[in-house]
Amino acid sequence: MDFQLPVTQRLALAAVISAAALLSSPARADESPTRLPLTVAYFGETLVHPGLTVGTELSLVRGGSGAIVLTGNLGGYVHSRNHVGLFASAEVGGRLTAPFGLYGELLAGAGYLHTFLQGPAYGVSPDGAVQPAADAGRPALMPTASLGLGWDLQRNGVAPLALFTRVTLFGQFPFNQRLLPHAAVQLGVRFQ
Amino acid sequence: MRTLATVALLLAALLTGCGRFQTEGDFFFVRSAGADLPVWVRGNTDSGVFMVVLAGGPGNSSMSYVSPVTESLEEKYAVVYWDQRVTGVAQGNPTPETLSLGQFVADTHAVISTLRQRHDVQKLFLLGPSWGGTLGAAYLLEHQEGVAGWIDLDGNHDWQKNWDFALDYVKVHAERKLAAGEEVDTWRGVPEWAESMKGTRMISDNLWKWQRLCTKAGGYFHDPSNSPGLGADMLLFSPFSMGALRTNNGVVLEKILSDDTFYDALRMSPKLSRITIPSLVLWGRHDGAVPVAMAHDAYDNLGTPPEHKFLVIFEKSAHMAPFEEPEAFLTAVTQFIEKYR
Repeated sequence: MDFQLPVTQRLALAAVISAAALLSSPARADESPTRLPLTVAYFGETLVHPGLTVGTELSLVRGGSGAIVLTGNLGGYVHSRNHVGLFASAEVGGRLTAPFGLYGELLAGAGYLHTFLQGPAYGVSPDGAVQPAADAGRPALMPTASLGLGWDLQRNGVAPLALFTRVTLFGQFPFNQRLLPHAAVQLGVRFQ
Repeated sequence: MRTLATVALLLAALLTGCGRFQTEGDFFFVRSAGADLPVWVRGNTDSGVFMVVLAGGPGNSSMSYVSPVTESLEEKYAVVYWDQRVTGVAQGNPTPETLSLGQFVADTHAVISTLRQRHDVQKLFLLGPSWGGTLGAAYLLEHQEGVAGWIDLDGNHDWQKNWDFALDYVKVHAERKLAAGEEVDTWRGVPEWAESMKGTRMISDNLWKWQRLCTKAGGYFHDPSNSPGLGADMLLFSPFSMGALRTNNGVVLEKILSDDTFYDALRMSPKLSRITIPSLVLWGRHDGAVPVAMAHDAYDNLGTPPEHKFLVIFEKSAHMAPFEEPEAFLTAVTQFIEKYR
C-alpha cells in the first residue's frame, strides 16, 4: 500500500484519535454522571479513500421520536497521491427514530479542513534550481451536509450503542479560487 | 461473470486501498506560483527517453490519457503525465493573474526541470494534443534546447485562425445535412450563423454554440463508439478526482476568452518559423475542433528543415486519433521517436 504519511500528518492523525479518547472518557465522580456519546466511523472520501472520524453529539431538543442534535467531529482521510485532509467540523440537524430503533437524520454544518499534498513536492527557483518544497498544507472552509441512516440498539435494550451510515457532502474553499465538492461515506458506531 | 469479476476487483481494491494508479511509477508534485501540479512518470525510465504529455482542453487531466496506446509506448519509453494549473486535478489556490500563457510555459519548464533532476533524461519529447499543442508551441518558442522532438497532435497553435476553420467545419456539415434533408431542425440556419461568425472574436456564447454543433457533427469522435470513457480504477482508485476536474474545467478557457492579452498571445502561426527541432504533425482527417487545415498551417509554418518534419493524417479519426486509430498513432509516434532518440 502506498500509505506513507509524513510525520506531521501522522502526528495530526494521532491528535485526532487522542481527542476522541478524551471525549469518551467517563466523567469524574464529582461531576454529572452523564457522559457524551462517542462516535467512531470509517470516513471514505469518494467511498474508497480511507479515513477516520471521531466525535460526539448533544441532543439539543428531544421529544417523542424526534430530536435535534448537534455533533462535533474530528477526522482525516487519505486520497492517495492527491491529498491528505484533516478536519474539525460541527453539524446540527434533525433525527427521527422509529420505536424499534431505526432512525434517519439530516445534518448540515461547517468546519475547518486542512489539506496536505500526498506525495513529495518540489519547487523551482528563478535560477532553475530544483529543491524539495516544504508543505505546511492549505487551509480551507468546509461546509458539510449529511444524510444518515442508523439503528439505535439501545432503544430495545440490546446494547448501549447505535450503528449508522452517512453520506456526507463537503466542500473545500478556496480551491483554485473556487469551491471543490467532495463526497464521503461514513460507516460507524456511536457508543452511548 | 465479468460483472462478478469487476465487483471482486473493486472490493479487493477497496479492502487493500491499492490500485495501479496508486502504486505504479514515480509520482510527485511541482509547486509553482500558487499551484500544485501533479506529475506522474510511468514506463521505461531506464530507456532514457521521456515523452511529456501536455494535456488538452484546457482543463483535461493528463491522467485520462493513460490508455492501451500510451501503455504500449510505456513499454519502450517513459511517459510523463502532469496536470497544468487549474486544470485536471491540479491543486492549490493560484490567483487569476497567474492564468497567463507565460505562466503556463513557466510551469511546463518547472515540471521538466524537476523531471530532469529526478530522472536520467537523455532524450525528451513533447506530445501536445489540442490545447497541449497550443502550450507545446508556446513552450518551444521559449525553450527548444534539450527537446529532441515535438509531436503536435491536432494542436491549436493559432486560436483566431482556427476559429474560422472550425466555423467552416460546422457550416459544411450543416449544408450537407440540409441538402440531404437530414436533421433539418438541428442544422437549419447554421450555415448562415457560421458564416456570420467568421472573422469575429471568439467569445463564450458563440464558442458554446459552436461546440454543441461540432459535437453533433462528430467533430471530436469520428465514430462515437471509440470514446473510451473513464474506468472504475481511474475514477475510484487513482489520484483522479471528478470533483476537481469539474471545478477546474473551463476556468482557463474563461480566462482566455475574457483576457485580450492571453487570447492574443495564442496567435502563434507567424512565430512557428522559430521552432526548428524535429517535428511530427499528427491530425485526424475529420477533426472538427481543430480542423485539418490547421495541420497544414503547422507543417508549413514550422521552421524545422523539411527532412526533419513529418505530416501524418489519420483518415478514420476526428480529434481523438489515439483512441480512434491507436495502431496507426502508435506506429507514427514510435517511428518518430526511434529516429530522433
